[in-house]
Amino acid sequence: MDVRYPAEAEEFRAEVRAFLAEHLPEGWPGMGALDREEAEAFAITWRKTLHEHGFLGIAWPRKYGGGGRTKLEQVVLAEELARARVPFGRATDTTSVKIMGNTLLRWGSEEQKQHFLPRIISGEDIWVQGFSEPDAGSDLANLKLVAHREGDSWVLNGQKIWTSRAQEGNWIFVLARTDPEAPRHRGISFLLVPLDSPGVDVRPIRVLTGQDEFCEVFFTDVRIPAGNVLGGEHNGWMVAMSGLGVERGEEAAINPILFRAEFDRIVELAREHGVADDPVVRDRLAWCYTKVETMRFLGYRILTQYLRDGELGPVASISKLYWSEYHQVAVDLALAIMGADALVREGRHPFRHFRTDEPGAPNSSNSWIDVFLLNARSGTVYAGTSQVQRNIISETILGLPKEPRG
Amino acid sequence: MRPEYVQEAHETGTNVCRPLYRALGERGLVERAVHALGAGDPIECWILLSELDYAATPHDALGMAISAAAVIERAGTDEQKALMLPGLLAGESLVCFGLTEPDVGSDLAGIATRARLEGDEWVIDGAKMWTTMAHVADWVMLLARSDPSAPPYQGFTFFVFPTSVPGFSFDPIWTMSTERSNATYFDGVRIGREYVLGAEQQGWRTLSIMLGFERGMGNTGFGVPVLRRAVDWAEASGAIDEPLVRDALARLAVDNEVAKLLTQRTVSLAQEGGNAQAIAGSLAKIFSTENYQKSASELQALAAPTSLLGFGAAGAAGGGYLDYDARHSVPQTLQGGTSEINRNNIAERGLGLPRAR
Amino acid sequence: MPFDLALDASQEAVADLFARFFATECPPDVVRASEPLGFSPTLWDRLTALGAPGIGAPEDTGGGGATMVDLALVAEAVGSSVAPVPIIEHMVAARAYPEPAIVDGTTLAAVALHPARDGTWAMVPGGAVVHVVIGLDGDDLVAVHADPPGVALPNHADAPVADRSTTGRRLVLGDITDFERILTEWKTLVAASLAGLARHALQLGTEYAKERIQFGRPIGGFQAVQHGLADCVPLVEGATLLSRKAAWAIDAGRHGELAWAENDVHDPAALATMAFSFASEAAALTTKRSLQYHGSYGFSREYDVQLYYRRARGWPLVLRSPASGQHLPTSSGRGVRPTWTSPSPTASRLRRGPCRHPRRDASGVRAGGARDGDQRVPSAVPRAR
Repeated sequence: MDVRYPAEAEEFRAEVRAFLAEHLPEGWPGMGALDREEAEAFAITWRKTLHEHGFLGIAWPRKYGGGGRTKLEQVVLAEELARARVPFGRATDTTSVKIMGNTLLRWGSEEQKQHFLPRIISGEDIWVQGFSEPDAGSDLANLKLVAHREGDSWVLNGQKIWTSRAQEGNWIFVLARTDPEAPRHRGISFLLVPLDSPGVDVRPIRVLTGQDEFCEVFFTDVRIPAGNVLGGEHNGWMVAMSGLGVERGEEAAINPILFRAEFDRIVELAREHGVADDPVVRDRLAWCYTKVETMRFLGYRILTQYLRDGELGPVASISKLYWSEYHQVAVDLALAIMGADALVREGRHPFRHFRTDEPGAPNSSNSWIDVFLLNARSGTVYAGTSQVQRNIISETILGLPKEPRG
Repeated sequence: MRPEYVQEAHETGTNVCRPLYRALGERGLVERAVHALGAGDPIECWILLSELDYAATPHDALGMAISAAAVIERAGTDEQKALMLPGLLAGESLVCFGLTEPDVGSDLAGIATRARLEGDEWVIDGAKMWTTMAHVADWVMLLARSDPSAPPYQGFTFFVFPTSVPGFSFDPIWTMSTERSNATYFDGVRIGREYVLGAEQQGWRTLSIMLGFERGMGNTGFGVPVLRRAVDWAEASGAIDEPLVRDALARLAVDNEVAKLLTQRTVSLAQEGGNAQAIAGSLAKIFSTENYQKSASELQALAAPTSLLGFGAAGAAGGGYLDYDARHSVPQTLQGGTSEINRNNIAERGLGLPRAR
Repeated sequence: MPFDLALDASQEAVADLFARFFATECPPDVVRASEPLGFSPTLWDRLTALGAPGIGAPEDTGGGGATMVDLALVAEAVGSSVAPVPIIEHMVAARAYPEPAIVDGTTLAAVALHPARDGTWAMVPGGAVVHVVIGLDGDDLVAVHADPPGVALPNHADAPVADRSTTGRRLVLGDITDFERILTEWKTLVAASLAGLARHALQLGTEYAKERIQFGRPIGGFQAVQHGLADCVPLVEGATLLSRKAAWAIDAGRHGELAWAENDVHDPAALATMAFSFASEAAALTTKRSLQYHGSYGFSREYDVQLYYRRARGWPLVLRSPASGQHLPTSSGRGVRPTWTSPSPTASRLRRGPCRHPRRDASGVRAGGARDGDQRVPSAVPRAR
């Protein structure tokens, strides 16, 4: 065991740090210190800067507009960006660059890669994801959106739900049932649909914080060219389940940084509320700190396994279960520290709704209340509920027999 | 109740105290508890056992004798009552239960111990596990498969017979929870048909009566002596002023109150019997045993390192009780129905969720 | 009957009446429509027509003379429907200050939980809409008549919480002992309402788990979900029993009976604090589990479980001091009476007093949370006479 990075990675780290020192204002407090408009404006400019320096899609081949670097360098970059409290792109890039970009790289035809990847990097195309349906959540293979061939077109009918930021995108990738006769997992295709196609209807869903970033997307006789399928007809399940290797590796490296930054905010919160000396609070803070440190080493293990084996497998479930369950306890502590203040909404709201609020965010009650109600709470639901992760861990890692299913 | 009785129970790992049981028997308190239980109004049984619980007496064997007596009173013949009840009600005789087996725990319907009728005698062959008190008991109550071809939950017969019968033997099992239990063996044990409790081939029904009684007995007061001992320790050591310790003690006090209320509810529902009481019993059992475990281990951690020392060790926190409770609490979520089985019971019978198995 | 945990016939009648009342008059749409202020004047009028506001006031003042156990049953029904009315605060106020207009419900009243600082009671539950606030000012328990602000402090429970001034038409009602009695009653009833809230949230989760099909079967058929829901049942039952016992102890007046070493506690103040603490945690866990098993739907405003989830945390928070907020026996030992203390009101908001004016925080963002817009009391709210 050796948790040090190789020398070439450290050289690259120095390069990234120099870049950050050059391009970030002195004393940069983090995205969290900006208001919504400022943050959005900054993200656009910052994305451009990253792009110009080959730091967007860093491990993609140069011919598609990427940086042509290694996976390890991608991880180092992610770590340094997180430490510097800057994003790797815009909010929509999680789906666009990370999910769609990498899935294209793995499954796209040369023509598809040459067409779509540069447009993703340039920001011309913004992709959103259409996987979940009203009756297909944990049981995603139960999806009902149908697509049938008519001449040179696919014709789509049905519905997707919980599509994040559908209002901001111009393309959606969907899992659609293209062979109703085939076994559940076999008759599904991964289709690419322009969001401005006739028959596509996007409706926002208001959630308990009042946000409406999540949407339902309805498809009524939506026609797309027959070529808009990724990874081959009826092969969509494989395509959807495959990707994300390097992203999960990257997450394993940056989650401890994000959660450490959040933990530091909780400590500050305890100071602000005059309870940093309270033994019960200190006990719970120490518990959280231990969890975050453990998360770091768990992350290293996942990362090194990925870099060595090139794939992650079920160990990603451990990571997902670990951080999402931890997060709820940590946010409960933040609320307990605030006491009655945690009821009254004041100050800045978070503008990201996954995982932690931005590093550098002020300790406003709105930050913690929204993270409590949405970010932390939904963490054990999206991208595989805790129940599903535990099933995966028990069946795949521990080798326990499969639970009977219908 | 004398300190040496408790000490003896700790040394032998056998929660028996015959002098105490006899004294209770002489005062008619055992009989009242049994009648109350048998009558489906177990309030007096609960009061007796909870007081014994709160006083931290070794009362496990008495509780078993009381539930056995109540089953005999309900399901036994006049001859069985005349033979067994006087000794049980006087606090003289003790009972052990042969239910679980090496390969059968939660799913009792899968037991392998066989009983076959030869002429007018039942012949019993098999092995039972966790037969606590077998080494001190006068009677054994046993569930055996008597008709292997019968549908589920049928073809069982319930027996009660003296532990002195030829072919009965046992080996001790020492546990980390400080208690001694036993493995018991039945090698061609021959007994007359008068030792069948309830109807032949209807043993599941007798078992259900017994389990129903046990749910109503409310053996859920573990946390009370724990709190008392922990406060004693905290005051003696000065830890009583530490907020973390106070926090743990306060939580335990609240949990004790809730455990008591949940148990009182079970007891007061006993007359209605059936589903409501079965679920209430599961609630009280899960809540009290899991909180016993949680608080005992939390307090052991708070009182470390001397909380690792047991009875008799110099400087042991709480005179060894913090160590004792941390260990004694462990099997409580297993015996008498695991927490998981109780959760199934609550989910399926209480909340009406579909069966998982 | 000396030992009976079941309700008697008249208690059953109270429980049934209010369960049916809130089920009919306060479906989830009424709760949603009252957000963000958290007050439905129509629902209040109907409660008034039912005689609910003065139900606990002494009969010689025109009240219903109901016991605290009866009021706890009302509170359970309030929690079960997360009703947008400050009826719990009002029932407590009407017992302490049975003025005719309060007893008949035409004037709304509430109780301040924290002693006044600098002429302000911070975070009065119901304070946004009531005309009379009863609270501790110095060593006096006083009632102050004044117009309500009509605006709630923006909060995630959408509760009509507001800071209130101690100035106005004042009447001294008693001293700190009387205030502590009020606090005991309030904690008891809020505990009961949280028990009712948790019970309903558990029911929502259970029903959803029976209906929601994944992997070809109801998700309630998976043990992971079954056991998660089953864990909540002892908490819901325990919270119900403990809050009812606290109410019963107030009626019985067995002050000072604190034999915790023998598991024999009857002191109302101790039981109220225990019930409040236990019910708060029970409601938090139960709503959390119920929301989790609703999957993403639980987050949608269209689903009812989020109404319960937000209030389960929000309702008890008004009393919470920062941090542990635990309730500790400050002396102990057999035969010695432990003093059970409620959390000290030291939360920073309570320390620094009211926050009427938006502040600027470090980011320069205007604080004060005007995001949800102004929260005005509809003009239908009755005015003090």
